[in-house]
Amino acid sequence: MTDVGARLLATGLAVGLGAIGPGVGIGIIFSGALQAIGRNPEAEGTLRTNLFIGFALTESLFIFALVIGFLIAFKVI
Amino acid sequence: MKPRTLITALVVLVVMIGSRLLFPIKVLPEVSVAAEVLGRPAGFPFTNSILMTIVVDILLMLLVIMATRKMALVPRGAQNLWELAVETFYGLGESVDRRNIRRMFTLTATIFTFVLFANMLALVPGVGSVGMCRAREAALINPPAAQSTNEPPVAALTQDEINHDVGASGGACGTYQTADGRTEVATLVPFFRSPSADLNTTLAIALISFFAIEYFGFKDLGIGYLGKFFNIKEGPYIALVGILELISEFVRIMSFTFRLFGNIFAGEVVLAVMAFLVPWLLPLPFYGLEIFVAFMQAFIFAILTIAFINQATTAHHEADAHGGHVEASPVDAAH
Amino acid sequence: MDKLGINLPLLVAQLVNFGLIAYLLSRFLYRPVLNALSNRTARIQESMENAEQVKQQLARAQQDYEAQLTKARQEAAQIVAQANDRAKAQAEDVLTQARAEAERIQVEGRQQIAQERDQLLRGLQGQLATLVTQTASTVIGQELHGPEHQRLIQQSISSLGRL
Repeated sequence: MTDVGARLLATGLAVGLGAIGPGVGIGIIFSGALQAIGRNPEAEGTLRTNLFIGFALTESLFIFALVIGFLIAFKVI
Repeated sequence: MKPRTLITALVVLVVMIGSRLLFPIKVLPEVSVAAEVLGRPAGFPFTNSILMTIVVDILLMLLVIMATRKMALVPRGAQNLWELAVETFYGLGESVDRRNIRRMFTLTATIFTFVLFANMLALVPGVGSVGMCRAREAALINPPAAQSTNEPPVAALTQDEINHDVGASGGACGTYQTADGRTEVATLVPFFRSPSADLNTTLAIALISFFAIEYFGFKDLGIGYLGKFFNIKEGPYIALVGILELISEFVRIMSFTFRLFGNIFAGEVVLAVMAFLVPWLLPLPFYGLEIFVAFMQAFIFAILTIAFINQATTAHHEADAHGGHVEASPVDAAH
Repeated sequence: MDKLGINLPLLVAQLVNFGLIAYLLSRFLYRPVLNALSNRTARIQESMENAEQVKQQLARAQQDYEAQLTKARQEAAQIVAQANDRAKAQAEDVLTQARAEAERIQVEGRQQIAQERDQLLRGLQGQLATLVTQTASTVIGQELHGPEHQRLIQQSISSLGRL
């Protein structure tokens, strides 16, 4: 396996595997938020703020994986 | 399926394939994690993201000053918009932290405004794609010592030459000969690069946010603020949690930095790759997504700062009395 | 760090830039806008209070006006009543005077008539007496003198008195 090939493989794996966990997590967050809003529609304002905070924090995990992927792909590390 | 939908889908498909065949982008734009240097006045590496930062600053200040130069009691036009924005953000901050929003409003609102403008202006066509050809070394922030003075003769290449060179060099600017006879690949240095796609900017804002959080924590709780991290009275388990919290406090810098950088940088790469794959129509939905992300990241950065300051200025027993923080669980989950 | 593009001068430049933009935004955006918002809130509150005051004043003025109107009406009614009374009294006066006058005139008229009749009667008595004596003397053919004469006169007068 050449260096380029190994890097491409590593990038793909890093981004792909890194997307699994946050994908599940974001799904859980939104499902919970929607259920909560469905039960108590008045709380939507505060819920939405917290929803997006949670979403961002979960998404940042995937972003870390993506950044690592870029770093590998562009030969930074 | 209705025939109309079918025809629309067909037309879109034809346009996409046609654009791929007729107007292909032959070179995948060179992606650089670091910002590229445009020039070095007095040894300062003047990068394209710094230039963009200045543009963002000037534009933002122009818009603001024009709107608020003459404050009317009955607001009109731009003043109305700014007032709405400030009021909305203030209300949002109040909903997260009613106690402290007044004193940290300047900080968090500036984070939001600046990051929002930086992200949005980075989506203007031409940012990141219009530039000049430079030697690769010249575009580096810390160039290797020997070649640092080597300015390349920037050749004006025709499209054919570029296309011809692509296979050989992989760059849009072709190759050039150095003084000692080596053949080097020139690189396209865009004039503008989103400040948020430069780690210096995001790290700077993350550091400011971090120090603001610690400052407010110490100011409100005094030396007792350290008790959140070094708690040996309540047994080894709590002590360990304290240490973990201390670590997570510093990880925040990294998480702030890379969240913003990663989102914006990845967005730019995705747009470039989509335009490379199918020049027409395909980038459109991603553009919409990027606009949303641009807003979202600015919002997240500011709101997280507010939430963290709220957390830092709340004493432990107080938090327990309130049944814990709403922000507490996601924050801990991410770290 | 190098390949990530993190560089101390650039980092410091961004820190300075953020501080600058925070100062400028606070100076030109947040402070004026927040001041304007609080001013506006204060102003609206003030206006509403003013409006309330004006409303109250208006209500008071209305009340005053109505009170005055009622008073004026009452006064007018009083004046009219007084005038009526006075007019009635005057009319009564005039009437009584007229009645008294009429009475007086009547009485005077009666007295005059009575006087005139008395005079008339007295005159008549005198004339009659002379006539009677003349007639009688003619009839008797002699002059009546002395006591006879006097008796006859007395006799006719008393018979006349019976008339």
